[in-house]
Amino acid sequence: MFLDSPIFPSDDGPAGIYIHLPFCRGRCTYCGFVTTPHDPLREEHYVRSVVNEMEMRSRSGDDLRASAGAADTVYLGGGTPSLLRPDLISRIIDGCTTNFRVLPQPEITIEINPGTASPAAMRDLLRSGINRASLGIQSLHDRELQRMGRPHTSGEALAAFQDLRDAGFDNISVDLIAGFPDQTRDTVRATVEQTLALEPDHLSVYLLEVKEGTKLASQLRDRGLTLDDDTAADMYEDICTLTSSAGFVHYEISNFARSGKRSAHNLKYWTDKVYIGVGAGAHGMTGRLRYANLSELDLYEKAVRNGILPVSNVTPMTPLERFKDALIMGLRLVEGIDMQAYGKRYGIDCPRFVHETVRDLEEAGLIHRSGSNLRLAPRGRLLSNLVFSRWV
Amino acid sequence: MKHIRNFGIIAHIDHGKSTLADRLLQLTGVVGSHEFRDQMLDTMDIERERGITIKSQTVALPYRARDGKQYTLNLIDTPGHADFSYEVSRALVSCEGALLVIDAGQGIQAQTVANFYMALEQDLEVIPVINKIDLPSADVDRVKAQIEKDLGLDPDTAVNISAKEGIGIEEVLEAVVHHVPPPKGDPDEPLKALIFDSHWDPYRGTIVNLRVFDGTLKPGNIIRFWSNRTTYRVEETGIFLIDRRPCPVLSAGEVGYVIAGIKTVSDTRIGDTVTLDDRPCLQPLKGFQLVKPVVFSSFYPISSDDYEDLANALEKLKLNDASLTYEKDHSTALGHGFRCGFLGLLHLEVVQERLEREFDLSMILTAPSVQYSLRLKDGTEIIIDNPAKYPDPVFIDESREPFIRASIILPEQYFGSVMTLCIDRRGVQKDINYLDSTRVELVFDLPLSEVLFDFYDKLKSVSRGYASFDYDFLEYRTTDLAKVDILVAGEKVDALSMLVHADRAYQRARRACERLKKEIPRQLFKVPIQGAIGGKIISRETVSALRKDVTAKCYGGDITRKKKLLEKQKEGKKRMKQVGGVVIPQSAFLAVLKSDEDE
Ligand SMILES: Nc1nc2c(ncn2[C@@H]2O[C@H](COP(=O)(O)OP(=O)(O)OP(=O)(O)O)[C@@H](O)[C@H]2O)c(=O)[nH]1
Ligand code: SF4
Ligand SMILES: [Mg+2]
Repeated sequence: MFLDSPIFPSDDGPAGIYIHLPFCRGRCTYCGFVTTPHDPLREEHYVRSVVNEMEMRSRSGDDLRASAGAADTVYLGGGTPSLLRPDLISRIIDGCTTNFRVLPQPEITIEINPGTASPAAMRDLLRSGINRASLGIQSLHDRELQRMGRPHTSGEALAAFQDLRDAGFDNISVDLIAGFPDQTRDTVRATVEQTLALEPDHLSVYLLEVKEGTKLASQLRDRGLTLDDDTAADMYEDICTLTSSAGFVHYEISNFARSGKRSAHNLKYWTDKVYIGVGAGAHGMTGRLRYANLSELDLYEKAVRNGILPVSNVTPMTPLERFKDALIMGLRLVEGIDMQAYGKRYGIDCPRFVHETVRDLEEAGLIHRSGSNLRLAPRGRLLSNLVFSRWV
Repeated sequence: MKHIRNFGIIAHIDHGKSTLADRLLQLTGVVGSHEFRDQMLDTMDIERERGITIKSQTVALPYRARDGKQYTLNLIDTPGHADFSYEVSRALVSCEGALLVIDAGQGIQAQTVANFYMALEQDLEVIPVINKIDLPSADVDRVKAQIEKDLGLDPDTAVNISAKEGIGIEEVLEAVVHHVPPPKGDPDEPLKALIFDSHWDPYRGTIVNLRVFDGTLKPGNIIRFWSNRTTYRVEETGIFLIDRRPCPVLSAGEVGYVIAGIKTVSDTRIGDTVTLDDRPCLQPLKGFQLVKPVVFSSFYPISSDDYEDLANALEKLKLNDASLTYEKDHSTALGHGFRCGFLGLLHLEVVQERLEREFDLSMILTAPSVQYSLRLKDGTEIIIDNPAKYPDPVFIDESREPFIRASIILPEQYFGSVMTLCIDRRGVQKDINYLDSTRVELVFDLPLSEVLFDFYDKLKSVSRGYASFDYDFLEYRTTDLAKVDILVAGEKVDALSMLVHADRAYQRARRACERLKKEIPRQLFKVPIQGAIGGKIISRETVSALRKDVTAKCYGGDITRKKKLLEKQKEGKKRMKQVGGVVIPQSAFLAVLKSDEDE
């Protein structure tokens, strides 16, 4: 076909490190993440395992070959990482710096849920090197928060934001949900406006996806409801308008940032960089393979204790597979990708590949090409799966 | 031969034939407790899921009677649903007697009578069996009176049982031994055996079920099929004990199977006579009356690569379903397929499901249709059952459609609602007979097309399950026919066209459009769906354009999950047909066929 002989990129640049901290106070109705109830003793054990896993991964070298062992972002996600004692968080960050070559001025993010961190704890987090907070607000309507099963009120959310600022966080992102059953265009607009009034640095708004096996999925089944895609699409358009008039740059399908405040860590995923996943259920991509860690906490810890890499799945990639993944991820960025550059990285005639796989979708107005640049047309953002499905 | 009894179990649907068969299997020790399951002879998945018998099943029961002698009782369990009455009639040719099971609560129903007459035509000894006497609603005396009045049988010969509780089962076996005559026939005459069923086995070829009337049949014999004179060497003969059980010989009077390396599917014909090549019989057996399909639909493979597979599957399925007919067909929208004929809509569904399950095919079906007779302006008469072949109405002088005469038996209190139903279905009332103080027989002439489509379900629902009906073909009558076309995105989809009575055209077009709207997934552009007669649009729906198909969250681990999801979506697309620029799922074609009841 179009493929000469695809090769792996010769240089992947510094990696990102993702650490999964799966502890939560309850379980939100829509949540399909790997989580387990908050338990200080378990958390202490778990952090030990996480640090041990880092040691193992740094020794194995495999994860770091393509990135020359360097990393410049760390992301503590969950779960609810802010439930962990700040000294445990500090241990994890130390674990990163001792086991990996963390470059100067790394971006270090922690996910925080309202009502889980005191002002003092926030200051401790800053002191341990964390410089970015991602606050899970989701909605500023208490009824909606209840339906979502969130263990906090809108008041606590607003307070948490203020506390973060007061503590000295100058890079705060807020997570919101749209398209939740019972949400209306008006309530979503109100939540977004109120959030923008807080002047966050970054905003992620996720259109709800119902995952099988969640409480929400069974609630919807019981009520005979399906999500209304049209309303969700309207909400999305409202959000795009509101954020842009507030001076945010829409840079990824679900992400908006003030200038200079894009998420450096998340950009790793979208710009075909490598990343190391650590912790139960974490995923990594080394440039040559993808892996998924064991998501069952006990199994994960047992593996680490026995000195075995705690993976449940390792999937080697071919250069072509990685290339296609890179297209899928890259097109999520509003600015799209540079086909020449991607083609060169992989030894593939990228413009021809694109032409042969999605030309009709270009005619349908879902994607847009100009010169070497390929991007989703605004209409294509909400229909991006139609484009991406051509590359799986 | 004196110790063989061949008998069928016949009844109205659900009166308990298969449950009685279960008890007979247990009492005679054919199945032990650990291998037993309810309605043991309903072996197909569809039978088990729907709780009805579709295929007749034969089992040889060893039984030591009270007279101390050892008998072989060849039992055939038969289906009760009218669509499968051909299974019953074929089964009865192998029998000398029949157990006519009657539900003690429901009494004699339409198929009780129909099956009873089938048994009489074969000169069978009929033993009435009153079942479900354990029910609180059981009224044995009333049923006995009905047996005397409706069937003209001696009610004192009836055996009262509860198949469910196992009451009276031994009496049933004794009645079979004493009242059903042993088979006649001569083992020393040349072989004369009747093929009453068959099926395909991928390893052993066609397996032929037959009843031996004269002579004997054993491995090593060279058999000859009467109709096409092909010969085969017998590899195995045997009887049915749930599974096939080889035996050294099948003799006159016995029922069993023969395996003879028959790999050419078309060599075997139901109703054909099997004889020996070196000592043939002089005359064939009478065979079976051919059944005529009454409803037709085209089957197309979803993927046109599967056309050959569908052709093979139909040929093999026909071995096991002699009432199925088919011929090649072609659609502009769907490509090559087959026009198939069925005995009713349940039969159609069963064939579709069997093709999907047993042969792993995915198909699209077109709207079922009866056969219409058209007289053209130039004087020629044509019969059509396929909307695609409907001529331009300007050439048609007169259209006629098949009518049936229905006999509906019902308790008096449902009289009004059943009348309303029949009149709504364009019925013409012919007669009312009071069978006894509470039961009425209504005789109506009805268009076949109105009876085929959900009439039975409607009848059941307006009478709370108490009305039953049976019908016979009557004649063709003048009608006002219209062809409704369906256009998707402006293009006529020939496979969705249907022939309907003009009075129903608007309603059917609207219903089809509504259902298609529900089933056709939203596409990149909005898709108009229109119903039309000739060039005139009579209904319209629109599938609005797809606005959202997005994965909002996509970070490290999400890519794997997302790719899996997209792959699954792609798999799903394989069950869809691209017609014009529009992707139409198989379910959309099926939805158009569905009756209101299924909603
Ligand atoms: N109470 C009671 N129920 C019975 C008895 N015999 C059968 N049934 C029930 O009646 C229903 C139908 O029984 P089947 O044996 O499947 O009836 P069938 O006549 O074989 O039905 P088809 O093959 O579909 O015509 C089942 O739910 C049985 O459990 C009985 O003696 N008493
Ligand atoms: S806080 Fe996040 S991870 Fe925890 S239960 Fe809720 S959605 Fe799931
Ligand atoms: Mg049955």
